[in-house]
Amino acid sequence: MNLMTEQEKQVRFNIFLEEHTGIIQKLCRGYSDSLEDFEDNVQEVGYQLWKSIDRFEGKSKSGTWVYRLTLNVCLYNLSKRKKRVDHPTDRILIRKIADKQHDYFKDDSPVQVLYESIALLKPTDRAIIMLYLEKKEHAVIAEVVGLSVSNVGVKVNRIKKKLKEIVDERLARNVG
Amino acid sequence: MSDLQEMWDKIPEKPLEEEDVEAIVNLKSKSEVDSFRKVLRLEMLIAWVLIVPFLFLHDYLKMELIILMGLNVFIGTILNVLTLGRLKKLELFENIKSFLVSSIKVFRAFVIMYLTVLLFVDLFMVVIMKFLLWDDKGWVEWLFSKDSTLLFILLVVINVIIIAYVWLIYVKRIQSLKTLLKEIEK
Repeated sequence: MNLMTEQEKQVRFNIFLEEHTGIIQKLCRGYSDSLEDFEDNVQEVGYQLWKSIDRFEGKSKSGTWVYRLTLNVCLYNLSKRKKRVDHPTDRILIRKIADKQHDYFKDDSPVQVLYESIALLKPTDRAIIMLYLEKKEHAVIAEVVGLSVSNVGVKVNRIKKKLKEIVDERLARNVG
Repeated sequence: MSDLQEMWDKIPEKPLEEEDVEAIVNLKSKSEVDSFRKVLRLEMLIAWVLIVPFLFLHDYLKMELIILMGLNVFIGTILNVLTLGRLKKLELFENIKSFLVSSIKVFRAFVIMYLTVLLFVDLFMVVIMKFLLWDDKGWVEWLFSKDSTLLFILLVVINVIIIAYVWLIYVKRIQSLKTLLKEIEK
C-alpha cells in the first residue's frame, strides 16, 4: 500500500489539477444547466480527486482516470436532479438566471451555443463527443466509457453529425 | 466538423486559483454516497446502543419482545453491512458503464434493505403495541378486534408514505441510472 505524506499528496494533487483543470471544467460544463450546477460538479470532482489521489497507482494514464472520475460524478449528479431540462424554452429561462458574466454562460457566445447544443444530446453521448473534441483517441474514449473501440467509432460519427445539425440550426437562428 | 472543433478549441480554460484549491481540500463532500455511508453506520451504532438496555430489562420485558428486538437489530446490521460492502465497490474511477452498473446495484441493495427493515419494524410495532396495551387478549381475538384494525390502518398510512418516499427518491434514481446505461449500450 502506497502511503503518502500529506505534503506528497498535496504536491500530486496540485500537479493533477494543473494538468487537468481545463478538461475537468469543460466536461463539467457539458453537464450543467446553470452556473450553480457547474460549480457543484467542479467542486465535487475536485473533492473526489483529492480523496482518491493516493489510490492512483498509475494503472491507466492519469488523464483516463481523471476523465472517468469527472464524467461519473457529472452523470451521477445528473441522475439526482429532479428535472432534466430538455425543452428549449426552459433552457432560455435558466440562461437568464445564470451568471451572464461567466465565460461559459455568456448569452449567445459560441461557447454557449455549443454547450446548449451538447445539452440536447443524450448524457452518455455528451461524454463521447466532448472527449472526441478534446482530441482523445478512440481507444482512450473506449477505455473511459467502457465500450469497444469499434463501437466508439460508430457512435462518434453518429453523434458528430447530430451535433453539427443542432449547432448549425442554432447559429442560423441567432443570425436570423 | 472543423467548425465544431474550432468552437471547442476556443473554450477558455481557466486555472483554479489557490483559494479554490484550498477550498476543495477542506471541503466536506456533498456526495450522496458518503452520506449513505454515514447514515448506515449511524443506524447500526444507534441500534446496538439501544439493545443494551433491553438486555438489562429482561426481568421486566417479555422474552418475545427481547428476541424480536434482537432479531431486528441483527437483520438490520447484516443488511447495512452488505450495503456498505456494495458502496465500497462503487469506484468513481471505473469506466462509465461499470460505474453505472455498480451504482444500480448499490441503490437496489439499499431499497431492498430499506423495505426489509421497514417490514421488521412494522412487525416489531405490532408485537410491542399488543403486549403493552392489549396483553389481556389472545392473539387471534386481538387480530379480529377493532383495536388491531386501527393500528393496522395507522401502519398502512405510515408505510405508504415511506414507500412513496423511497419510490420518488431511490427507485426513480435507479430508473434514471438504468436509462443512462441503456443509452451507452445502444
